[in-house]
Amino acid sequence: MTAIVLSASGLRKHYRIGALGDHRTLVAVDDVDLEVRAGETVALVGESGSGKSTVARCLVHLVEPTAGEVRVAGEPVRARPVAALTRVYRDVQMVFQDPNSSLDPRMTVRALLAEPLRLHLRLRRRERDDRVRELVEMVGLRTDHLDRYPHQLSGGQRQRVGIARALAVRPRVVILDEPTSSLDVSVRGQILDLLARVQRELRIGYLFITHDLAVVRRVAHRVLVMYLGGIVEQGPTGAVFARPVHPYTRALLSAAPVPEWGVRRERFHLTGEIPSPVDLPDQCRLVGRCPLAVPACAHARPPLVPVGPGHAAACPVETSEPTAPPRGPGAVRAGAAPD
Amino acid sequence: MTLLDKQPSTVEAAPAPVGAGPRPARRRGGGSLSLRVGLALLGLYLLAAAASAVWTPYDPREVGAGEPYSPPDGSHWFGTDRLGTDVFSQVLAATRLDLGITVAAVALALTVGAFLGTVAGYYRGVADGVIMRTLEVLQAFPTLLLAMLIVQAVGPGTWNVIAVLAFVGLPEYLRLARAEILSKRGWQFAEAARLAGCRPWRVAFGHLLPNSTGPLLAYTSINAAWVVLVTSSLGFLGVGIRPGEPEWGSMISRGQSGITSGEWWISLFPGLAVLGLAAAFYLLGDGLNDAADPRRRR
Amino acid sequence: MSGASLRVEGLTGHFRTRRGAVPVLDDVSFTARAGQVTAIVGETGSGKSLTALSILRIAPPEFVVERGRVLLDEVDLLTLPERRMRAVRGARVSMVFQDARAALNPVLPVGRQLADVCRLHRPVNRRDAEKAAVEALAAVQIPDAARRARQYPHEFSGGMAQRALIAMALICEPEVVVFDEPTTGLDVTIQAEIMALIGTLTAGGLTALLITHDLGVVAETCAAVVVMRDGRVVEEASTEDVFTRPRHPYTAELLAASRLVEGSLA
Ligand SMILES: Nc1ncnc2c1ncn2[C@@H]1O[C@H](COP(=O)(O)OP(=O)(O)OP(=O)(O)O)[C@@H](O)[C@H]1O
Ligand SMILES: Nc1ncnc2c1ncn2[C@@H]1O[C@H](COP(=O)(O)OP(=O)(O)OP(=O)(O)O)[C@@H](O)[C@H]1O
Ligand code: SF4
Ligand SMILES: [Mg+2]
Ligand SMILES: [Mg+2]
Repeated sequence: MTAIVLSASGLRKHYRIGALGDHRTLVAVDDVDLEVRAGETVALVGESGSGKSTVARCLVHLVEPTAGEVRVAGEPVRARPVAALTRVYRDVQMVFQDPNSSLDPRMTVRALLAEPLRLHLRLRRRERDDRVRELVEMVGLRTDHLDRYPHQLSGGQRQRVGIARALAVRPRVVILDEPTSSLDVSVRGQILDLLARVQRELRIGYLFITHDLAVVRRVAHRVLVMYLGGIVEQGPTGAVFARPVHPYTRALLSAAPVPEWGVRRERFHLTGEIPSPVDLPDQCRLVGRCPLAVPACAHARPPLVPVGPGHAAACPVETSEPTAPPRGPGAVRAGAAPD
Repeated sequence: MTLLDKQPSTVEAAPAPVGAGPRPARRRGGGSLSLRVGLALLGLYLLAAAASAVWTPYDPREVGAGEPYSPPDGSHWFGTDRLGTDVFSQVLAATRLDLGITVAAVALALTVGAFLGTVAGYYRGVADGVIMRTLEVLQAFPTLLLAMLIVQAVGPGTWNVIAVLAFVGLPEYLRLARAEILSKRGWQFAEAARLAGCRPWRVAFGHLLPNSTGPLLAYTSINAAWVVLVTSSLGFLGVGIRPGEPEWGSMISRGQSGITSGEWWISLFPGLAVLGLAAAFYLLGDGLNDAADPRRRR
Repeated sequence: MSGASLRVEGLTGHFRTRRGAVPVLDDVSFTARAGQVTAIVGETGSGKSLTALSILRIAPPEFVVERGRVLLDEVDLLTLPERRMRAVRGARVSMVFQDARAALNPVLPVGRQLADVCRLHRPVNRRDAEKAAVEALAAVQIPDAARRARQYPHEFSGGMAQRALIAMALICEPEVVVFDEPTTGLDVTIQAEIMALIGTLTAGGLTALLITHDLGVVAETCAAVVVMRDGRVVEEASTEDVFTRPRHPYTAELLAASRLVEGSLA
């Protein structure tokens, strides 16, 4: 088995919100376990606001987790001493969700890319310059972008600067928070190829947060599906896409639009309002939206139960049906008629 | 002196959204113009300061260089005062002192204030508590009064005046820097900088502070103008600078009686010098603020 | 809501930089018909956002429009006096920005910002504006909207900031809305809800311009497509034609690339 480069167990993050005297607890991340191995790509998908970015930020201790332990290359990550935490960033890097606000507006692309090389690798100026040049070309930017400030780049160009910056120090594991969301499909393809190539060369592990299921299918070895702070299903990409078990996963997979004219999918619809992660009762998070709910669902929060090799889901109703027919989100040709 | 007591704090602009968000149409060209005019004006003062070191038309301390109370004419451009000392020479000679005091006091206040404000804003916790409580106590006093009291306590002398003026101006810088850093410490570029290998102090001073200079620089101009005025107020009230040193404030003070009796020139010219320098700083601050931001540069 | 169609004609412009002029838009022309969603797709950096910003006349000051017209019901927005343009912006034509979080003011609660926009164009008092803000947030599927309205942008997830921005663009019920990658960062279920919302609004007469990289969304919700590359419009056609009979090689390339990414999905 290859080495685990990033792992978390029992990760929780609670935020106190509300005005004085009206304090509520917002549970952004609720008991998440995960691991990423060298050379492996793990996709983290899920509802917007389900806590994916918070998981990412807890993993690198940009926010202090309320509970839980994170290990990078086997070593526990702690907020103190600061010097040790800074050294951990040599091994774990992150591409931020918002490429705009994660680039210092007063630094040129050159300075942005040189900074990690100078601070982590202590490269000399000459080597730095060469490496910076290599990096921009690697992500498909031109060298005349080097002297631009972030505001002089388009959204997609900024996103590529963020990717180049994370790869600059050749880390062991990279957390990518929607790294390709504002790229056109062809550049997206190039970036995914690039990431795959770098992964093969350096055996980097990726935790890939994305909403783009096509990207997940293409790059991920394993998938984690998050809903309201918790992981509701996980497993090998092929298995999860072929036989999504949890109702949320099924709704998610069936909602993806297809880039073809006149093709419509059979949607698996969730009903009702999306709940807010504040003061949640101890029950399945999908109660109230799930068409398959039974009274038992409201009694306790269902744990992840194995449903196949490496494949687990947190829904007792679905997992207790041994002969569930395969429910691939198969596309059907339905002329131009919507569903 | 109510105008002086209350230091304006209207410079606290909301942080502009980063990058290509909705950018309000902003004034074009004005930035560099005020920078140029401000620089030119300040250059003029610097020139005057330098020139006065080697040459003034008369000795600025010479009694009886001309007839007492002679109005401006060809030989005494700004006239003479009660003792017949040449006003132009005095104004010129005073430039060195007043300008020096201002620049030194502002630089000191800016550096120390920005430093402490950054520490308070980024590290929070105990440091923040101590700094902010101290500040509140200090800010309970009217600033001019505080300055006068301390000068009285530590005694006269140029360096003492500089230290006191810096000390009194510092809280506003501290407050501005802290507010800016506080509002930005959660921004993603600060987090990204941590991952790029910056220790917290480097994030604070290398990334957050440079992105917070706008309000600080804008305030230097107001602060400098204020220091110019207070220096001359201290001179005017006869505290601070050793008596006998040519200083605009004490000149205005001495000439004050003349305003009603017709000898307007004794107070007017040092007064104009004070206003001109204050204006130079104001324009400079405005221009610098624009130039320091790559998003506003062209 | 009456429909107003938007026509961009021959928009050409460049950036003034220290190294001289950098041309970015070259003769960009297209029409967005009332009651439809028109998609703009194309290369990153091809000038899509800039076109949108130019329509509202909020492009960065270093961007110079050389020529071209932006016709909203036969009125050229580019020659309108700034005072009248202010009345158009937000009230008749509004925009959802690409960088959601950056477009929100970090020091004001989100609800307050929406209410401010509302009050800018409508004679409503603060209470009503705040109520409208909460309703607008609820309309874009933000759960617990009343509480969320009191939070600051950094307390929102990426997708929620995005939705808040959509709410802000819609709060004054404009006739034309430019959406610059509105569903980037939203999961597909919420994306579907947002696109359904846009669909309902266009059925009521709204003219929507949708900048996106997601050809799936284009296929499902848009009536017409404008394909841009390198500052030029290389193809403008109905969605069906673009997907079944792409005329320009770049369009074909784009479709092929998206099928490659989808690849194993089929
Ligand atoms: N600083 C904070 N204070 C309070 N609540 C927060 C804070 N940061 C995040 N949250 C809340 O935590 C929850 C999870 O947010 P997070 O950003 O992790 O979501 P996400 O899964 O990344 O969503 P998206 O896909 O929309 O980016 C949200 O409800 C969000 O409002
Ligand atoms: N201030 C500037 N100075 C010089 N060039 C600029 C400036 N701002 C943007 N550009 C360039 O203008 C081009 C068009 O940018 P625009 O943001 O419109 O692209 P876009 O089509 O929206 O791309 P994306 O899909 O990546 O968001 C880009 O190539 C960008 O690098
Ligand atoms: S446990 Fe019940 S409510 Fe939850 S997903 Fe399964 S069926 Fe639906
Ligand atoms: Mg997120
Ligand atoms: Mg764009």
